Amino acid sequence: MHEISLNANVLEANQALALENREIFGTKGIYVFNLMSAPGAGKTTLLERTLGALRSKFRFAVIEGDVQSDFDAKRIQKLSVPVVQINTGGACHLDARQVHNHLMHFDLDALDCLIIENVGNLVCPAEFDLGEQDKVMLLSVTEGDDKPRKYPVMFHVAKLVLLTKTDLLPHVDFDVPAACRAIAGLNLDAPVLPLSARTGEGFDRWTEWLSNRIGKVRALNA
Amino acid sequence: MHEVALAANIIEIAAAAARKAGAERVTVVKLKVGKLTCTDAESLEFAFEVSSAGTRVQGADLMVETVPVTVSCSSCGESGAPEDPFLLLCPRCCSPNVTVVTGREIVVTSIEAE
Repeated sequence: MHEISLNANVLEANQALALENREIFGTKGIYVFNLMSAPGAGKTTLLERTLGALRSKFRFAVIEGDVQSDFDAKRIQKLSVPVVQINTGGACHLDARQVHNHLMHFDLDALDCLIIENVGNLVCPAEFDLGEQDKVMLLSVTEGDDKPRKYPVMFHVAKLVLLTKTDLLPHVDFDVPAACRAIAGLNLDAPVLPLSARTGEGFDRWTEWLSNRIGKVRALNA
Repeated sequence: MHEVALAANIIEIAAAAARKAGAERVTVVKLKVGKLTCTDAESLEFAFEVSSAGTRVQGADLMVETVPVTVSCSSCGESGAPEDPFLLLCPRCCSPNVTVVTGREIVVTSIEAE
């Protein structure tokens, strides 16, 4: 019996493919963000309103990740935006290989922004780099203002946190300043934008933020 | 449940190393797992046991060493473990302006094979 020294990064295979994806997105001038939240925080509803507001300005495509079903893809399809559904069949997150293998469904030369809606989960998606430029996180007011402290890791890596379903604030005990403080304690750089995808309240700040990010990537590639 | 995906990668790494060394069976896999990866050692051991069946890693002991979170502070220069491993604040000046030094790694450090 002998010991073999390795020091092999377990996530290296994923990391290598994520780098490959990132290179493709960079070359094509596509802004890609990874949308993450707990199940039911309103990711797809956010996307519907976002695409409705910006699809005349930018060319979008969407990758939908779910354990099962194509419900989300069908909702996006109604907006005439190219979409593919990935069913992870039990896995709790998307990985770089799945994203890589589905890129062929899109015309990457005719895209400004690719949105990857990850599987609803507050733990695992943070560990798997997909090659995106940013991770955008949703926290809905129905989940409770203590979630950042309970599930801190995803908040560490978010570029932006969207506080969703603010139209429900009168009906729930959610302390917005407390949630913002908790998020700032974990990630000083991530702005927190409160909004309601249902009423449109606060939505302009989000679409402005997104337009800026897409514009920056396009300018780099112009 | 990302432990299942991690276990599959660990088994692949260990099996490939054993194959390369001409060994038939892996008896021990030593792993370092950072606290910030939210990996549950028990789930990982279970996933490893189930997923390694039928491979040359089957029956190997998975030895998991948890790596604590340490940060380096850009405000005061201090390095060390934050008081709360998930609240990334400098242990000396409490600034959140820190970078994570350890705690995010998942590494197969070595295997024993025969």
